[in-house]
Amino acid sequence: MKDIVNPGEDELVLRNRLKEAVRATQTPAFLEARIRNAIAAEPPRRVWWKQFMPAAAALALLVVSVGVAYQLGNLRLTTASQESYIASVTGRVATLMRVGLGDHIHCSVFRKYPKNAPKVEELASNLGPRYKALVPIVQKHVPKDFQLMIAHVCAYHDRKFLHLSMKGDSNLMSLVIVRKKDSESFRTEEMLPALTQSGIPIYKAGAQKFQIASFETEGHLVYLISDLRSEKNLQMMLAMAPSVKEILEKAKS
Amino acid sequence: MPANSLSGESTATAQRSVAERFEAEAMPHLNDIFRTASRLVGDRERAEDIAQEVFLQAWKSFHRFESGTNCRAWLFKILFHCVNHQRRKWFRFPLLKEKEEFIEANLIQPEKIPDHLTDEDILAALDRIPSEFRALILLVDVEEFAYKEAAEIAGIPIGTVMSRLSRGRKLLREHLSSVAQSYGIGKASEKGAGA
Repeated sequence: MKDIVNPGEDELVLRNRLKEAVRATQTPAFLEARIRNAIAAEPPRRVWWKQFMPAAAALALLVVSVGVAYQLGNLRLTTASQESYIASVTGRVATLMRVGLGDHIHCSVFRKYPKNAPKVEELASNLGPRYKALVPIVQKHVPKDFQLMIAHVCAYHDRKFLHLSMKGDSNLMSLVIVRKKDSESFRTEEMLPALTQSGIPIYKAGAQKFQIASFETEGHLVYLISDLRSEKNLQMMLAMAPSVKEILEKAKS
Repeated sequence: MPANSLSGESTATAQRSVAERFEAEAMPHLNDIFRTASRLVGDRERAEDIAQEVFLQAWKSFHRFESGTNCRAWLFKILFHCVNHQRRKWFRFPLLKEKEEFIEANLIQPEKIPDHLTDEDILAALDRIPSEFRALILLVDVEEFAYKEAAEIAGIPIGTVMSRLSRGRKLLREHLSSVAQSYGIGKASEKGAGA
């Protein structure tokens, strides 16, 4: 009979002996069959909700998409919801900028456009002889993929607007002209112009996706509103401002 | 073919596939579960009931088991849950803290273990160890789980695993030394040799 001298080795031997002794325990032959029978009588629990996961994910995505679209002004089907959207967007810009932006959203954004653009001559005739020259000016300065879809006189919140609306692949643009009321002026609003290169101070503002570039004549406020980049919008307004100003002054005289 | 019959077929196919997975991943560990249950509760009949309970519970919650993870450790976790549940039903155990304090106070330096001991001697010594220590000896020394796995299975911190394991091993050696002495080996034989 030999005692193990090395404690480490002794420990290892003990563990091996223990392992062998415990593992020698025989599982009764019937136990496996008994367990199988018990299992067979018990259907596995089904994770019912897992089946609905794709549908739930799709629904959640839909809800989020609808929510986002609604916040961005889409799916506003009633006049009240459209007005609340216009108020929420225009509330973010200076008072004088709200005038043109409101009409753009009201008349251009919440509108179904025909598949094909109307004839330019038709649209120009809607503006009357004094303002029909605006059409070629606008067409000259906006990107080629924009088509003139509307040229008309419209009314919003008791004010009349000259409104030219253009539609690109996924962008909208409006040239909105309105007669000044009372003492409306960017100067009295103490706004600083963003550009003055053409001798005409151009003011800019932005709210959500809408970029506004604006200038004033003696009797009018002129807005170019689009969902293009702010700089691009500003440059277009800078380019067309002298010609537009000239037409408005001619029309006044 | 009516739609409900199609859906019935797909349900049956799904159940068959779950059954096949269970058969392949869980059933091979029956021996491990039974022998550990047997040593934990010290009674073969209870161990059979517990092993059955373990596999039944595993089957019922097999949808929660992630295929490819350690099914054996998962089954042992269920085993420990079942054993603890059964114990609470059968006995009122003294708090382990008291037991640990008692053992700390009474632990003596272990003797060298003679190598002639039988499996029965070793198992008898193992069975004399308090269950909390015995459980960890079974998990780590017999079933070869890592300390971390043993901690997860037993639901205790890893430090507690190590301290209980150390104490359990010392107790096992002590009990085995007592067995050896009862055979007239060890201290008794040393005395005899000295006389």
